[in-house]
Amino acid sequence: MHPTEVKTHECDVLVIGGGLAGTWAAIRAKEFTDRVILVDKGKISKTGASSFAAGAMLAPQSGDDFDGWLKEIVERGNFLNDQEWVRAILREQPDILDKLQSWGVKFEKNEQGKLLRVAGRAHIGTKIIMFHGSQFMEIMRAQVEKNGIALAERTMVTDLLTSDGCYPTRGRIAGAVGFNVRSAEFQIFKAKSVVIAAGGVWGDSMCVRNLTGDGIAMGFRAGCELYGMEFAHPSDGWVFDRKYKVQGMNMWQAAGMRLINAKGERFMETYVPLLKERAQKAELHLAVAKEYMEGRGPVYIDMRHFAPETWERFRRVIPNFMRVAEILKPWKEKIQFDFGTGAVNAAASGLKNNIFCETGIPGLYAAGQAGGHPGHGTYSVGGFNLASCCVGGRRAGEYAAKFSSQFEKAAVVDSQVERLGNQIYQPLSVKDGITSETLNLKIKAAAGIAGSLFRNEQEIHILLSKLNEIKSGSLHRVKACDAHELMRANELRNYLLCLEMIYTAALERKESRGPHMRTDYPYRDDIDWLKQVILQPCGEEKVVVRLKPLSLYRCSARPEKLGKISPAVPPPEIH
Amino acid sequence: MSIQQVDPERCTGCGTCFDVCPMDVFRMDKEANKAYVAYPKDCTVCFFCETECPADAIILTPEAAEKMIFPFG
Repeated sequence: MHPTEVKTHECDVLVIGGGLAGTWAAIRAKEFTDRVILVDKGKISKTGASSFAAGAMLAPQSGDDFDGWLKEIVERGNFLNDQEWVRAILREQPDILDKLQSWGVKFEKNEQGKLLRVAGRAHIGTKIIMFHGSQFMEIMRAQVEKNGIALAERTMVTDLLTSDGCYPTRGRIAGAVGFNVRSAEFQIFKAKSVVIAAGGVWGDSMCVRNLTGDGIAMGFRAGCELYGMEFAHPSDGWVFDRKYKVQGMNMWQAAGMRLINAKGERFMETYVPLLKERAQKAELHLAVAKEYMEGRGPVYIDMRHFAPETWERFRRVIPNFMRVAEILKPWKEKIQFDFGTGAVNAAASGLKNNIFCETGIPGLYAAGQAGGHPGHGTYSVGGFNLASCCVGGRRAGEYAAKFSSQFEKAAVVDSQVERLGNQIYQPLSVKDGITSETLNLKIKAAAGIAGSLFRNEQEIHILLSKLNEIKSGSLHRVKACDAHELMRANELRNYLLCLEMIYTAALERKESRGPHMRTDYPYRDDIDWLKQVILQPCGEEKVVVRLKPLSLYRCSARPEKLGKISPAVPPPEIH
Repeated sequence: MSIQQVDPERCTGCGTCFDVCPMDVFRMDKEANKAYVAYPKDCTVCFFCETECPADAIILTPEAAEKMIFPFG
């Protein structure tokens, strides 16, 4: 079932996703070419994870010991970082920070009026700066508008167009298709090059519930490889008092938050003595879950010792958190602390791309979380993601624009447009089906503990077969009565595919590294597993798994010796 | 919980909430010239509508809308 209205757009560079990486990509591409379109399924400045980022951004400055920074980032990333990317970020981020300040982005300053740099999550030598709430993305939007970049908002891109009309393609990129999420109008984008910056796989985990890995799924279907999907783990879905989802962990860590179990013990001292509560995100997740599972719950977060000026800073930097804090009064009480479950790829996982942001499809580029932050390893230090969005987005925009100036556009294959169109609108013709909400709950129920943290071969097999059952038995039965529901249905299709890829990769990696915790292989194995798990599409959403060893020769930061290392937080002992 | 409703007494029909919502939960009733909550289950309690509404017409509570699962105990 097709709607009668069709809108066709033509451009040199199409940027999919209007968060921090996407806006940087569009602004940069416009410096090299005229016809740039930025498309987003929400409103740019209020969309994606960037609009809710909790203030922290990695802030290298000229004169810093970049070798030391690289070493720290790579150690925290468990040595799977692309070190060329880390160097690019350290080199290019200072210039980006200057630009952001000149555009008017507000940061916390020190007494001399200079950027205030602090140590937050997992930082010792590395540092972050703190920006103020949602005004950051408002300013990015203003820059996009000032540069005359065409916007297509409330438009969900579902799939890519390829020059041969095939998936996986052997040709190059020709554009993309999607629909307006309010009118359902069909949208065809003819583009010489495309940047995917549509975020990661977050599911229900955070305040943004529509980050369903759309970019990762569309790239994979079209023929891009995925990497690092096994490092998906529950992300910033911190839950206070089992009722309120809150963000701002980096800020609380920098301010000296404490985690306490039911016995009154500050348990992070045992697991990560050096950093304690400033440990890496994965270590916090694993430790909190372990405390609960071994009967020492509930876990509390204690902020009662924060100075009044810290709360004033929070009002500027993380105002949404303060809205909840006004109710719970954490300056007076310790608060029960949990995290939302479900897989989130906030680490180095996404569409495989190189230092020029090129994917395996000519003309297709990836940036931001969709491109997996290759420098991040298994998830390194706080604030790395946003720096990687800026640097990666800017690079993707530049190289996509240069590609578009060198090549004529590829012709769109009509039969592919029709096939993809039919697929988009299929839920509108389902009569006695299930709602997207019902399907979402089914997916959540399938995940369980294996879906969030502690995994073993048997449980991953069970989880994969449940996901497969949902995919073959329920997905085609999801109905939509309007454009909004049509968006939810298309999102869930992407989400399911991404989850399948996450656990396919998790099954393959037979060790524990960073957030990927295998209870049947509870150690980091640097002898056999300094490797990436690469998922290669081979049609009909089927996958071939291959392992790509790291080139240690090209890495200046390496493990001191190769062996098996016990994780900081061992798997729980359940009696 | 989460988004409850747009207070029809206060709503001026300016469309700000409809414009800013990341999850697109609002729709405009053109006849009454008011905004209303069309997809309450999708609300993620981001506070954008509440913060930006010039008429203070948004009624929401900050508890998460969806049922949360705590599998660890």
